[in-house]
Amino acid sequence: MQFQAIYPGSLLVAAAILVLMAQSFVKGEKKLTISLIISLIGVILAIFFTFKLFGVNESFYENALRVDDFGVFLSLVALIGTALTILISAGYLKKVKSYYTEYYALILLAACGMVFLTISGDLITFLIGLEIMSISIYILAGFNRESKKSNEAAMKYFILGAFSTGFLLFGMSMVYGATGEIVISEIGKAEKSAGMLIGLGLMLVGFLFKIGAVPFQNWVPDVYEGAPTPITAFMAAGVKTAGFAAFVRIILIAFQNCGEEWHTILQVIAVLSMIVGNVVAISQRNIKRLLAYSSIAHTGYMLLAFAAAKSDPNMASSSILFYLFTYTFTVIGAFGILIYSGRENLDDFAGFAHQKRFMGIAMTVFFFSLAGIPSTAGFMGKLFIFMTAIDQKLYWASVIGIITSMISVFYYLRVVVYLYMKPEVTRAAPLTDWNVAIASAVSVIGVFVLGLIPQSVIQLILTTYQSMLQ
Amino acid sequence: MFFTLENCLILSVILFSIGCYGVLTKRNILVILMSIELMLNAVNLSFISFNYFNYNMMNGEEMGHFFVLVIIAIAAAEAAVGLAILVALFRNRDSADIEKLVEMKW
Amino acid sequence: MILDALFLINALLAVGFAVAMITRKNPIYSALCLIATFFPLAFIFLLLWAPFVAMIQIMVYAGAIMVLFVFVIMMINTEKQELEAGKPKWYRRIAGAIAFLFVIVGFYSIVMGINSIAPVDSSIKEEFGSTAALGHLIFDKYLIQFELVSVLILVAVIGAVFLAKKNLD
Repeated sequence: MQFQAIYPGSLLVAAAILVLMAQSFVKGEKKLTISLIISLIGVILAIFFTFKLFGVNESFYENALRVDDFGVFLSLVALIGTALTILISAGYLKKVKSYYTEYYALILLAACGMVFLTISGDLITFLIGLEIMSISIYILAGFNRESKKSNEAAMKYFILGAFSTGFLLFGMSMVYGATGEIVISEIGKAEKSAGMLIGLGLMLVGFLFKIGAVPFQNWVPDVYEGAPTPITAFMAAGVKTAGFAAFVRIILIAFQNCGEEWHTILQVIAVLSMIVGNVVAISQRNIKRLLAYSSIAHTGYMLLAFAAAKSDPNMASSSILFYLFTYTFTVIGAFGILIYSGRENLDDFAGFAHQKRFMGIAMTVFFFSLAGIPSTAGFMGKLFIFMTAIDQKLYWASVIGIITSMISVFYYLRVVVYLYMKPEVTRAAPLTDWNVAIASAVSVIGVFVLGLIPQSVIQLILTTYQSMLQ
Repeated sequence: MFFTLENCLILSVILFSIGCYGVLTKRNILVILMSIELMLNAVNLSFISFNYFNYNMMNGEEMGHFFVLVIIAIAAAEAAVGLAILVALFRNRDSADIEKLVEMKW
Repeated sequence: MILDALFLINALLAVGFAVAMITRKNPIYSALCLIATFFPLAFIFLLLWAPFVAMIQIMVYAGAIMVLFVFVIMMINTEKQELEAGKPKWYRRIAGAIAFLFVIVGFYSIVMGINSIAPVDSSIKEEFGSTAALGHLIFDKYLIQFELVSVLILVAVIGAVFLAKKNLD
């Protein structure tokens, strides 16, 4: 059955086309409801069919697709992120009174790109998946056409994204020239050569840009601030998940013979990302910007685990996968509450928890999870990562990671302090929005399940690296 | 002997660097987009020359040619979306100067 | 010999027009120079046994993409004062120059380390790079990638129409 590999992706495209067609039959606010239902059904069906791909571990279509547990797990994470994004988007679109349902279609198409990116077996599928995802996100970042900030965010993201794609492509051409192969597993069998190394260097530039690591992090705060809030959540969760999926697969499989070179580089980049992200975040008063800098820091944590892949790639890739899973729930939940409250500045949040008690609790949970307080998912993720790094004797990098992580507790808890301790300000309480509330509830449950009983998920994850090699 | 893989790659690298320089120094967004197109073209040249000069290593398959066709499609999609974003930007602020994108600090 | 001469001429033309592209002040001249860069490149593709790609290069790049550029340049009508103030800030210049040097030097050393076996012309299959051969590749071996490109184009169409249209609804 070759077709099972493309069911999730094709379902997402079909749902996107249905959403576009539905516009011509319904008008006004009904349009939004219909599109919301179609896209949710599409994503849930895609999740269902992706789930059935567990344990397949085969290549399809002449190695174009490589369906293994690693890719399937990350597809699932990306699709869960998409479903939650669609839910919080419903609240956002109602709030800004935007009736353009192209929005849902583009989210579904971006999700399709992510699915193909995570299960790509050769460089061409990988490239097209990446581009489908990125181009959809460029457009979504500029979705508020009347807002100068949104235009600017889209433009900056587009220029830097296309620029980094150029480097990625040049790297691919070098790898192709040096090995004569485009299938990822075949490239891994080639010996180390000058062409492979320059290809690795150029592709690293492209990847580090996509995941927002330090020398290439300049775009992150501006784009996160300017883009519509649900899209910011989507970028932080979905794009990062898919980007890391491709990153891990290409570096660990295709460049497995070029090991020594990239470990040191990644270690330095991880340390810089953690320092820059956490230190600059302290001075931010805008919560979207604060979460942007914190996302740079979280990229740093994951890269730290990656740098430990030298002798134990299994643990390294497992901890990255687990961290991505926890981060998806946490960050989408946090952005969801920003949408619910309709506020962005820290000062506006004063006393929010007294106006909306449950939302206040949920926000506390998410920020505790971001800070890595025990019993939340963020704690387990960080524990996993630092354990991996210390096992591989990356002592100084781990120490810096733990210190910066303590610094981060300060600015996350400051938000919680504003929620509860500050006297109530004049801003009226927001209206109840059930879509966002459901997304937050799901995220809270996810955070606690992964924080308190992560065993089954971890067991599943620990076999994924082996499945990539088969 | 000028027509060798080395020289083709050097040409490709020079074009790529010119594009790179253009992206980093030009202020007009249109010229930046054109420089990106030039970079993609340099990549095309490198794929095609690898495919020809390492003919035996690729078993005589035109993988590089197919890759180039995909890159051209990507370049077209990127150009369309980039110019659309520029038009939307221009509608709101009447300027195609990248130094004036200061709504949020870089 | 004739190959060498043709390659050299076209390479110099391509570099010359590319340099001209980034030194022009008026974007319309830049666009024209970029179009002029594509032709010698397409000629080099012909020398490299890639006739189909060479044709696509002319038709899609020079014919479609650049026409789009020229169209947008005419549409948004960049004002005069902006062209005069078009000098980059000093730090952008330095960054650009460093990047330029870095890329050139870094690649050059690597390029010298790449070994190649240039095929004798008689050893190449007659149909290498022809439309028929590429057709087989696209619609047989790389079918799934080809179909995925259509999704990419769909995204671009939706995005371009949505962002650039003046009045929605």
